[in-house]
Amino acid sequence: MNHELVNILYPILLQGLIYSFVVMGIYISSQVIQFDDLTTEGSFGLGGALSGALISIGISSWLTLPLSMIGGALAGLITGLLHTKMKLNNLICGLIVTTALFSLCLKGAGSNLSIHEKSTIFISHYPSILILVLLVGIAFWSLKFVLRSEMGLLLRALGSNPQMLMNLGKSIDWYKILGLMIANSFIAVGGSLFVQLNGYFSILGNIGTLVIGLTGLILAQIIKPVFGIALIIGAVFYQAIFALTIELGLDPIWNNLIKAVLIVLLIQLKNIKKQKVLC
Amino acid sequence: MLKIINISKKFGLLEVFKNFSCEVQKDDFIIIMGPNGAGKSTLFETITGRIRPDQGTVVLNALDMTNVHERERAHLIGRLHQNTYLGSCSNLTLRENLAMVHLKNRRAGLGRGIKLFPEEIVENLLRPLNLNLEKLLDAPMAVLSGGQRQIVAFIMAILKPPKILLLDEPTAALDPASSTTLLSFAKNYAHQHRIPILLITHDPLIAKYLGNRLWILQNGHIEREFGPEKMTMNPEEFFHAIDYIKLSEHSD
Repeated sequence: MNHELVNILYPILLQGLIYSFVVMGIYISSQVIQFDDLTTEGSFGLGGALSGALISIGISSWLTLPLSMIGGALAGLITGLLHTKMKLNNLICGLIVTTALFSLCLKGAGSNLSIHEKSTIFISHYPSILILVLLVGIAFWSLKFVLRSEMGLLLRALGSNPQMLMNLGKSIDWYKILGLMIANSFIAVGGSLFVQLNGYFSILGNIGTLVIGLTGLILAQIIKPVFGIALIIGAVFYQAIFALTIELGLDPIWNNLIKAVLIVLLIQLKNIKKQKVLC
Repeated sequence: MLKIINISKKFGLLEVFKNFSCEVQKDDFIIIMGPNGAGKSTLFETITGRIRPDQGTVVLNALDMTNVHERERAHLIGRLHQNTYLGSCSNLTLRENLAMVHLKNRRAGLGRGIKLFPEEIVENLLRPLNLNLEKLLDAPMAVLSGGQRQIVAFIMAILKPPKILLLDEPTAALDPASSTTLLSFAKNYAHQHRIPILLITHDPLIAKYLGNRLWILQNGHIEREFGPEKMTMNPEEFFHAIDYIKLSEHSD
């Protein structure tokens, strides 16, 4: 294969695989439990900051993955508690937690933290792509496993008919919190991998994560027949479209504008597809 | 079985119940009629625990339930709503919906959810209904008709036998054939298992020919009560006796 093409596609694939963790997390919150969660950017940053800070003090890079997961789950727990116990609106809870996490990340990892000199999970005999495919595979299998489990039935039921949980004598609040914890733990792992792959943590690195994740999810819905795998393909495909716009020579200052326009175009594409099905 | 003792409930200035009492026995199939605002749904919500009375006592299965959370009471109560989408989950398959009921009295774990599906109900419950439900086990609930969904919701309400069944206009959105299937199924089930049913309806034919008791609820009290004799009453006389409901509905 053309070397130049490989040089372009390889990083796209790596970034896409990392963002598929975010897409899976957003899928759980927005599709499975139907909760519009804005904690995404906070937990992605938290995963990155935790990994950056821990790796820089010599803690095993592999150990930072479960620790990031726990951090993300705690972020989800706080969002869930604010919503269920203090009765705050979904969006407000996510905003509050993301804002609070910004300070925590600054305190823990500073505004920029390089881990280039440190050992990350990608510094190994195996190629990064293999490590990522393995991790995404484990995450995807875990997601499927959880959603097909008894607990998963209740999480999915919560999204379509919360009253059903009450009829079964289950706590709607607890299952909302559980869903948010799972979702944000996936996203935080994405943040950890992002920092480890790029070799640095930046406090601004998580900006736009939510839009990237949402766009990946919408792409996944468009290529629905293989929806499960589509969660991963959607994330990769989005990175490819985005990279293409840069290859075309657009100035990087337009990055976020391009992201915003892309999401609108994709939603329109999804709507057109839906109308065609209805016709 | 169920005793409601002197309950009062106000929503702001609106007083729905004032010292309302009633009693339901084990073999009762009680039809409840009444104009909008008479207190029918508030009565159900008080029994399920979604609404707490300002005063009075709710006793179910010899236990004082007045201050018991709705979630805890759900173990004893089966409920069917007018909206056929509320009794099941449209994004889950029929098999998953029926499997989920088995989580009613126990903690959900990480075992495969559909393993809880009780295979025996295919032959015992689904096939005899002749609604082709046994062929739709792996279809999402959303593709089922309203009648099929409502009967599945009823099966879900009884799979873990409740102590009482509350049916809130369950046939309002169904065609006559589906209504008959659902009501006769409910009647036979309640009779065989001696589970009392409270059924809210606006249909005078159901009021006359179904159930052993009929309560006409108005302004938060039982305005008139009929016993099993209602079935043998002259239809014209019966419909005339309950006709004032229609008049008061028109005056709403």
